[in-house]
Amino acid sequence: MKPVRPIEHIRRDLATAGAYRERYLARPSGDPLALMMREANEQEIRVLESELKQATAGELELTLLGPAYESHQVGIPLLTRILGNLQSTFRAVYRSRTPSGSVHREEATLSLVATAPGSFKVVVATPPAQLDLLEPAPLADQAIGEIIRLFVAAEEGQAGAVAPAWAAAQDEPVLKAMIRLSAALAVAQGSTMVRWHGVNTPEQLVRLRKEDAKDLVLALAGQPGREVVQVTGHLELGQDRPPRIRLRTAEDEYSAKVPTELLDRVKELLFGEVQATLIIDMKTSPTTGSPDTDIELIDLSEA
Amino acid sequence: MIPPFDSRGLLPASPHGEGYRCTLDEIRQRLVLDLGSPAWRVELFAGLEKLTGMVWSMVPSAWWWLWGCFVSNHPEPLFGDLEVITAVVVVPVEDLPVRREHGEMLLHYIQGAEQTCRVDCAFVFEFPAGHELRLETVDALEMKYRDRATSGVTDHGTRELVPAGFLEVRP
Repeated sequence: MKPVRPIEHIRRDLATAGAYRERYLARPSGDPLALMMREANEQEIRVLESELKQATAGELELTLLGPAYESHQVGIPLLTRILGNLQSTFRAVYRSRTPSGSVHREEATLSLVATAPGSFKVVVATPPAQLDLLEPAPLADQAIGEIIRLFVAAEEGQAGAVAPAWAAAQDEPVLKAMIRLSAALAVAQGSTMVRWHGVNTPEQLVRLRKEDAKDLVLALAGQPGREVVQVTGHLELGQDRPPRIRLRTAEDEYSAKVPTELLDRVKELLFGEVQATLIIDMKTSPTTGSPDTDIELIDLSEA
Repeated sequence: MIPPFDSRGLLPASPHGEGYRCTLDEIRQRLVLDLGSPAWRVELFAGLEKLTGMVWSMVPSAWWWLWGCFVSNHPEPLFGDLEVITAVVVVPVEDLPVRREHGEMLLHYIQGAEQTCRVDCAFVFEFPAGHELRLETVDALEMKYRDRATSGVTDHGTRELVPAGFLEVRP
């Protein structure tokens, strides 16, 4: 195994191998010994380029801890839910921090690079940063960094102090994505250990208990007139376009908007018993003054 | 001869970017025994001894440049258990084994030395002065390896390279 070298060292080695390459490219040769040296240099350049790519990508490790994962197994629906919400939160934060607001899909796509027991661990990598954008920190690092800061606040019992101010400064898609991610972690059993190592940032470790994640959901949604509820009930289709679901519980019936990223999960769980997280916004019509309620589904799982 | 370490614990950079000529015995004395024989230095030197022994058994005129953390008085390796010696071996072509498969075996061994001997070792064929391919040797050494060998030793705190001298090992 090779050590992770500083980016500057890799770049320096690439520069020297490149300078050597420039010399021989201008001078064709058929001599087998000369060709052997040149091929070794080409091989080294390929290895260095790959090393550089790895060194410019941050790494985020999520470990699900608790009795439910002691056999080093996790249900695919829970795992995909957590990873899917992590991806959409990352992309939403990333997009909101991009000056143009436009993002190529691959530049904000996380990659799953490893899984390991312990109790159940996944490692995802951020996309490699462009070399000229490493200072002060690549956008991908900044985006994950924001998510981690909220987790740290929740772990320290400070969700109520930190999250509302953060939420107030965000666009709605960013906020809802973060609420969905926190809601997914709140339904995980036990706790989630998060280790983040960005390209230019020191390693951070957070242990988020499900109660901490739940506090974070409530703190993020805690605007006047907004409420987050978790309900268990029977899932039905309410309306096709725009998509809405109907959720019948023992006491109530909710009709909620469905965001695009949850459509597949709705189809999968339709007509079954589900646990749903809903955001309920109480609004007053600015023209008539009449009250209105807007409900949106933000998370859904099998009950 | 290996000069004394300077106040930074490094070999002073040579004014003309030349390596300090020395033997393996001097390296053992200065970089292992005189520094208290810490386990990592003992192990790295053993790997270097194994690699040089193998190469010299087939090409007795081969010579080496060594640089990196090992070529300092640092008490600890930069990369812990993953530390290696960084080197390039220069192999005079007129002394290459006559049988081609022996030459291939030698190169294979050098290229695998990071795993087997903990020496991250590149190779350069040395075409003699006046040879039509002499420029191949000069380009590899001057454009690539001298730059790397003189770039110095990584500071453990800042992780930046600090210019320092390097070693040229002859049999």
